[in-house]
Amino acid sequence: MLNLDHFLSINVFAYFGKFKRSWCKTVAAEIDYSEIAFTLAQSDSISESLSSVLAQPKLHKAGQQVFPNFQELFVLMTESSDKYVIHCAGSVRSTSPVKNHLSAFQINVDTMNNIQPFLQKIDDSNFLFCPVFNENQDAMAYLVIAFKGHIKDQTQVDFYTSSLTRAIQRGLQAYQKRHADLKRAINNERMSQAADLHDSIAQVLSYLKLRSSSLKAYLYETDTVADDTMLKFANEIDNQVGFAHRLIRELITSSRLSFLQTDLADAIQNSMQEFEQLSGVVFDLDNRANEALKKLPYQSEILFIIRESLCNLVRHSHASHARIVITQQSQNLQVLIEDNGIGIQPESKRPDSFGLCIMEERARKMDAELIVENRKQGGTRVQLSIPREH
Amino acid sequence: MNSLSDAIIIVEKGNRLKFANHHWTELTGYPLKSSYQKTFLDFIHPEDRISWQEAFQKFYHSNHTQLLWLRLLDQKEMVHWCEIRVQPVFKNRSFPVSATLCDITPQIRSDQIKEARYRSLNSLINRVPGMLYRSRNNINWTMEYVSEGCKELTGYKPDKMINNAELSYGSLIHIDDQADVWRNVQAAIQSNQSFEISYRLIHASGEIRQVHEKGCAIYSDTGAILGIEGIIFTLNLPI
Repeated sequence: MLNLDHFLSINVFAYFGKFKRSWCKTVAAEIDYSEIAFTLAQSDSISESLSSVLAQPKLHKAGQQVFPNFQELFVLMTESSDKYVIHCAGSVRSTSPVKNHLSAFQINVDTMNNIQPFLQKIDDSNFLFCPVFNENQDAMAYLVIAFKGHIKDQTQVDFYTSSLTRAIQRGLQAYQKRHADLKRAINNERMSQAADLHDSIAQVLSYLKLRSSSLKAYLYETDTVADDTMLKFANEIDNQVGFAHRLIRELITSSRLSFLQTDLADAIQNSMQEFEQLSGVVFDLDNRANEALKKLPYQSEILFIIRESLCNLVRHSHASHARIVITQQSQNLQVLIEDNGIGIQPESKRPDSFGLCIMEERARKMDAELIVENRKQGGTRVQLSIPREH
Repeated sequence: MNSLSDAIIIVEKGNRLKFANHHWTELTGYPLKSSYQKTFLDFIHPEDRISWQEAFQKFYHSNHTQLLWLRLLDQKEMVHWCEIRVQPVFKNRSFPVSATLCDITPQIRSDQIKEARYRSLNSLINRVPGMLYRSRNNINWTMEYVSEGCKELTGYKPDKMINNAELSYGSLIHIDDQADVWRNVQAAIQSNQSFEISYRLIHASGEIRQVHEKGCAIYSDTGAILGIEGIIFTLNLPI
């Protein structure tokens, strides 16, 4: 015999299911999800593209239909292992009360590593966090929907969030892949240039350096020189060849450095540890400007200057303690490398030592100010002030 | 509370400072009045704020006392390493919390010096082109310590040889030289002298290598032989 109740209930659910699906189709028809993915994938500045995507009125309209008292849409993107950047409609700097609530909420990376969407109440707003995964299936970002009140229809919510999350995910994955490919291509090119330089010009310059030194030595030893002019020329040639040789070595080194390191703060930390291993100096890294550091152009120049300073410190300073302090000033970012060693004696500078010249050259390239001086308390201070806005 | 030599603070929800004792001003240089207008986060070194937030979250969920080390920046922007203990003020409420701050900067500095000395010595020993060792005075020459040079000299990693984990140093000495090595070393250490010997060693690759060893015994105050220390290396100079 036919169970009427069962039959009815099936039909009732089938009816509502159909209604929901038709609603979903209407919303889906209005929002162009592939356009969202495409915009993000082709982006040159992800924060601008995300803010334009999040500002789409259709997304807000659909959000208002799905969520009671829909407020705002955000995307939280990982910037580093412990930092999220909040993207919203309008620029990153724009604020709203809801955004303030979200940024005041202490976003904990451990709890954020959820692979399922989760709801978080912050003050009187509800925030639905939907994870967006990278290719390794790690949450690289979260789509966050702020609203007030309770979710009534889970199906509509799921449909809205999953379509949007998927579109953002596709876009961001393509964006990241494009940038990673680009970075790899640049690095490969740099590596091959470094290898070419090493095999060609560097070899010739090494040979020239040897010959010019021999020539100088020969002229000193023999009495055939009528006047000092020839010796003066030989000296000049020897110095210049030495300088060119050192420059080429640095170019090769910095091409390799930029290949090896990605994050400047990590690279500084690694360099410090490297020099720490090779000496008995107590190093202390005090980085108070991690975020500002990442945004600076000329990252490899900064790393080079720091490495050169550390190298000089280990080789010449006789110091027992050294510290690197990175601070943010109003206009500048300041890198200070100090030690408690014997200080510098400008008069005893070797004519073939070009380290400082190259450091100055690099500082000039990025409009930075480089001061190398003796500390009042003893030891050396290298102060690099890099303008924050170029 | 003001007479305590540690700084005590009470932190409200949102990291706002509600109370601080006199030692807080001594530690940070900030008068109490201006401190109350800031959040506790403002005093923490930017790199350590996340550890504080994590500890705070853990505390919020578990209500158990949390202990952490982080850097505070004083009024002159100087760094103070502090050991911070976070505990509840009221038994059944998460907020406010009280925190005890003990300045451990001198301890951290002295630890850093010790670490640097250790690191410097350790990397020196491990970079020496030869194997430094301390062994027991037995026929297997059971190694208590061997430096990284072991890999280059014998072809085996140090951990395989320490305490005869997988093989003994004695078994690597060419069978025809084992007796001489033992005799010469014993003769030297019995007469309180260092020894200098040369023998053949079987490398992991199967190759026979001529090695040189200089060493001496370590003695207790009563003259008992506790072990042997020395260096073993190869000579690549043409003989």
